[in-house]
Amino acid sequence: MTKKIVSILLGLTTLLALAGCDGETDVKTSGSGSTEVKTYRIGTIGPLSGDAASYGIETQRIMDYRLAEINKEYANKGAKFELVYEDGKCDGAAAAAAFQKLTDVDGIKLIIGGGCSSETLGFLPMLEDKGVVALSFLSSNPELEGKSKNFFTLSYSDSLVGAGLGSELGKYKKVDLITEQNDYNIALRKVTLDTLAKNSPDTQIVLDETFPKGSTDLRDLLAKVNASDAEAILINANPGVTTIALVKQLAEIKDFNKKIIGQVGLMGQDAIDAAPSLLEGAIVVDAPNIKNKDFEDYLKKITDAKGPLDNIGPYYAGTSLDCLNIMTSLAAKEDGDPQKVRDDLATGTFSGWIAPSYSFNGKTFVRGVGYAKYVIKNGKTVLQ
Amino acid sequence: MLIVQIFINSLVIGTQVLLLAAGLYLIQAVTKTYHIALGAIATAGAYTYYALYEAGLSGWLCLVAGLAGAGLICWLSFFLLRKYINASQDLLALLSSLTLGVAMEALMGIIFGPEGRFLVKGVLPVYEWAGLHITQVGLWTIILGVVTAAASYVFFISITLGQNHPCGIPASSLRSYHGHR
Repeated sequence: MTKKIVSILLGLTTLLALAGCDGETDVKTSGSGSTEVKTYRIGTIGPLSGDAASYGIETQRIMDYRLAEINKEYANKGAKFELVYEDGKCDGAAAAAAFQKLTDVDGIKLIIGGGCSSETLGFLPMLEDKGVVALSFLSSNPELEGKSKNFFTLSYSDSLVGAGLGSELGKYKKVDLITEQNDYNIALRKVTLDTLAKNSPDTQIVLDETFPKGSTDLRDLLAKVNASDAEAILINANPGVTTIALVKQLAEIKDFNKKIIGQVGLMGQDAIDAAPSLLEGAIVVDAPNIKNKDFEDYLKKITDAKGPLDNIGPYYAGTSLDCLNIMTSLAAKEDGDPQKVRDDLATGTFSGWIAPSYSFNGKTFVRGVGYAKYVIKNGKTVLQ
Repeated sequence: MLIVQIFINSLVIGTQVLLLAAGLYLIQAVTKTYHIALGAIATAGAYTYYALYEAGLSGWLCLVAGLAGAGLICWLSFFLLRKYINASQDLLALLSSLTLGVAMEALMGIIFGPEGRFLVKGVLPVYEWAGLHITQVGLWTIILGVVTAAASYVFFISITLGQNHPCGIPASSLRSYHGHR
């Protein structure tokens, strides 16, 4: 009896494994003989839960809205697109599991994602083996460059932001750095320190502390920061709950008077609203802004239809849209062939919300996108 | 002053852990079971408070409702664990408690969403003295911890009912140190 059960289980496992070996993109054909409609399924991996969930959820709202428009556009062209969402939880292990589910169970070969750099680093090694191509809207860790020829990202590299942060910190004689133990933040810290060492050797780093990922009680660390004699502090935490908790607890220290410098975590309106007095005058280095009336009107339509987009920011809203536009158009053009989609990504030139013309030129990160400096004034980020 | 400030911060966190650990200990002392779903039950009580507070009810009413909600779930969980406790199957009771905790956390995630919640949108009220500071919530936590510790001491050491209570029996060495039988 036991042997029978084991045999059945082995058989089922083999069948499941073989199902994942299908080299074809998941393409279904439906409709009558005269109006054949091919359905292209594209997977997405992003943080739908956890500390960075606001990014994943707002990206989902953007893509859902745009997908309906794309399907209308392609209705007469015999193509239809489906997005299969998986939660990467801003974590490498969870993203790797999500990736395997998309590829082995759903048979998907084109992926938009990961969101967080941690997610992408989790499944990146599996891309080429499984013949899957991924285009990210958010991943920015400089370590991603050149790691897989099947991965591209529309985010700017953190090396640019790190250089910007290093440049701002270098204006002060003594600085503190507090960093969350997350792939994105650690990479940013490294580039910032390298920039400081290279361009501002006279700047002394008084405190360089890290704290566990997802921490929400940082009062001891902030007490140390307050007690230090630094003039400026770099807040380098993941956007979302961690940054909000950090600024709220920092605002509890009434005699805190250091200049605050931050990254994308301070761009979210939730973080600014949590401690507006503390953050007045804070400097933020982040993606360039997209100052375009059509784009702002479009985002307003999405907000009205799907919900608020308070945290993702204009640039990443733009990358989310461009990712979806590029992947769907290439999927239709190359009939879902991942290798051809990959070659198009590597060599093609694209036009979208983030720039009128951009390309990858065979690299991982999109070329020609820099960073911008903002100052928080009257509860809003103002581009400098 | 930094070390004093860190001490104050640590006292607040330590008291929070103490209050939860006390519940865990009380259950373990009576049933010999580690009811590790207690954390999830406490979270459910907190979310009950949060949901009612966001709906506009007064803080005190929300507090009573939150405590009642957590108490109700705890009482219901007793029926899940009762047969294992009665049969002295401690491991099965532990596994059941763990399963209940995971299921409750998943349910709360589905109902309330994945993001953390802040009951106070802005900065917590803060008391300052001589360069030190403590939040109002932190002060109440410490007061609650001191009152709980004092009440427990009086109950288990000085009162006969507490001395004979299963939770108080392991405190016999503490009692003899203080000259009680």
